[in-house]
Amino acid sequence: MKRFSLSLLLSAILFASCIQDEAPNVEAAIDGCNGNGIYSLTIDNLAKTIEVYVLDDDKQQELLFTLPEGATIQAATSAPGDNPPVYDFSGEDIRSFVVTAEDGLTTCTYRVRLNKLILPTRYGFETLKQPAPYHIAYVGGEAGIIEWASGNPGFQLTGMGFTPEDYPTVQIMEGKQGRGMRLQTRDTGSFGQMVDMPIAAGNLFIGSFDLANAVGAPLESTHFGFPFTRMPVRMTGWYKYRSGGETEMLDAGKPVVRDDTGDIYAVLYEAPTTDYSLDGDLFPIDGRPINEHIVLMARIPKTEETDQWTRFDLTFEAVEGKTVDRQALAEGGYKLAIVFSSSIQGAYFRGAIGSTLWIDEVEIECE
Amino acid sequence: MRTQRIITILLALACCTGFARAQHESAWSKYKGLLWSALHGLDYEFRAGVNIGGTSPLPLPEEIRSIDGYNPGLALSIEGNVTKWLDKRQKWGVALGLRLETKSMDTKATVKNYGMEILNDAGGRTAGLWTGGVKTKVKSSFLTVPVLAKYRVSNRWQVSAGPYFSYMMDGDFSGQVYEGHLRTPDATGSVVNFTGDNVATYDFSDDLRKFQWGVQAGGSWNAYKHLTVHADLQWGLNDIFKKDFNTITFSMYNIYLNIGFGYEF
Repeated sequence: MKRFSLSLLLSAILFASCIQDEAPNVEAAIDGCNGNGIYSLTIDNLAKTIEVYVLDDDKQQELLFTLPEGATIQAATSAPGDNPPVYDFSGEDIRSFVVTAEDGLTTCTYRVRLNKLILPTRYGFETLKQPAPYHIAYVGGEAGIIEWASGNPGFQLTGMGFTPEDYPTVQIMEGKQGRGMRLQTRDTGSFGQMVDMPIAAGNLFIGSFDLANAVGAPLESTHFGFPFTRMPVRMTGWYKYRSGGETEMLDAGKPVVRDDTGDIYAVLYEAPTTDYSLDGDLFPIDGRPINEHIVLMARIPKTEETDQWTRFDLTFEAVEGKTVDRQALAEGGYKLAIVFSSSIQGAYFRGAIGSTLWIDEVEIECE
Repeated sequence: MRTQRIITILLALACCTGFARAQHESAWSKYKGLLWSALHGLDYEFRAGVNIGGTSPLPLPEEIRSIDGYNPGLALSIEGNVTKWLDKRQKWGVALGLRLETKSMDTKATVKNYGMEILNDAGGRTAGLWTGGVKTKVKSSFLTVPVLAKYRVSNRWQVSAGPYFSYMMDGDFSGQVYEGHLRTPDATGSVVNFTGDNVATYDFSDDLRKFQWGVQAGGSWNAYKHLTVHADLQWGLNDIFKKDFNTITFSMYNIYLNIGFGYEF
C-alpha cells in the first residue's frame, strides 16, 4: 500500500507544481472616473463613451480613471495643454482615450466628452440614444445629452432580455404625446434567484447606473441626481399604472402584504461634494429616516391604478427643518433627482411581477 | 435516474458473471472447467476499486492561479476482465475488460480571466471573463473497455498497459463562482463585482463528450491465492468537452488512479 500513497503524493506534488507563471491581465476598460469639478458622469461600456458633466467653463479637466489591474490609459492624440491627469478640452469637447491592457494586446478606445450642461426641465421621452440591446432615452440636444438612467444594464446580466421589449424600462410608441416610457417589474429568472434579486422593477432616473455594484451592492448601483441651480416648485406629468398584485413589502422594518404600487418623485438635495449623489437607499424601508441631505421633496401619494393617462401635479415641499440656501443653489451646491419606478420598494427587490408604470410629458416647474 | 441506471447495469453485470460462473461449474465436469481455461491460457478476474484523481487541464493553464481545495469524493468501479496468455510460460498476455465506473472530484480554485458563461433557465446566457474563486464539481459514470497488454513479472506481480475506451452514461460538470469580478461580455466589457454571499452557478453537463478514451498502466499483486490488489493510472487523451464547446478555453482531461482488489478465478 505504501506505493499507492506514494503515487498519490507524487501526483499531488505534480499538480501543485503545475501552476504556471501569472499571465499579464487582458482586461482593457474604464471602470470609473472622477476628478476635480466633476458633478456627474455616465460611462457607457457598450458605446465606449463617457459623458463628464461640469458646471464651470474651465476646459482643463482632471480625469482620474479607474482601470483594470495593470492597464494603462493615454489620450489618443495629445493636446498642447495636456498635463495628465489634467487634459485640455479647449480645442475639442470630445477627446479619445486608448486603454491598453497589461498584456499590451487588448486595447479599447473611449470617447470622453466634457459637458457644461444645464438640466432641461421638460421631458417628452421622444428620442433614444440606444435602441438595442436595451433602450436608453436621453434629454438634451446638439449641445450634449443627459441619459435617462435605468437598471436595464443590470437586467442584461440576468440573460432574460432577449429583445429590448423584454427589459424593465422601454420606450413606447403610444405616449401621452408622441412616445413615452413603460416601466415594468420583471422576473429575473434563475440568475436573479441565485443572487437574491428575484425581481427587477422598471425604473427611470436622472443620474447613472453603476453596473459594477449591481450584484454586490445593488442599492449603491443607482446614482440619482444631476446638479441643479434653480428653485424647483412643482413636478407635473402624466402616468398610467397597473399593479402586479399583492407582494410582501416592509413597513418600518415589519413585513406586510400589500398591493404593489409605483413611485414618482423628485427631490432636491444638498451635495456635500461635487461627486456626491443619492443612491437607492434614500427612502429606507427598515425604519431609518430618509436621507439627511434631502431638502425639498415632491412625491406622489399613491400611483392609482388606471389605464387612462392621468395627470400628476406634485409640489416640492421642504423636508422638516430644511431650507434651501439660495446662494449655494446658484453655485451648484444642490442636485435634483427625478425618479420613476414600477414598484415602490423595487430598490429592495420587493415588488409584484407585472406591475407597470407608464409615464410621459414630465416637467419641472421652477421659480 | 442515474442510480437507477447504474443499478440496472450492475444487475446485468451480476447476471452475466453469475451466468459465466454457472457455465464454468457445469463445464467443470464436462471440460474440466478452469483447467480447460488454464490450458487455453485464459484467466478471469473480477475487480472492485475506487477512482481518485482529477479532471484537469494539462498543463494547468495560466488562467488557474491556485488550487485552494480538493475532495475526491467516493467514485467506485467494478470490472470483469479476461486475460489470454500468449506464451507457454504465461509471461505475456492480452486482457479485455468491462468496467463500470464513476470519476468524480470537487475543487476550489482561484482563477484569472477564466472564460465562462452563466446560463439561466430561460435559455439566456451572460458571457465573460471571471477573476476570482471557482468551485467545480465533476461526477461522471462510464462504461469502459480496457484493452491491455500484460506481463507477468513474477508469480505474484503482473503489470499491464494499454488503451481504454469509455462511454459516458451520465455526467455532471457544474459549479459556482464567488468573490471576484466578471468582465462581461469580453475583455473590454463592463466589470461586475461579486462579494460576500454573491455567487453565480454554472452547469456544463450537457457539453460533456460521450465518448472518451485514454491510456492506462498499472500493476497487480497476488496478495492471496485468488485475491489481488491493483493500482492503475488512467490518463484521458481526449477533451472531456465536445469539440464545439468553447466557453472553457482549454481542454480538460480525466486523470484518475484506480486502486482496489480483485478475485481471480
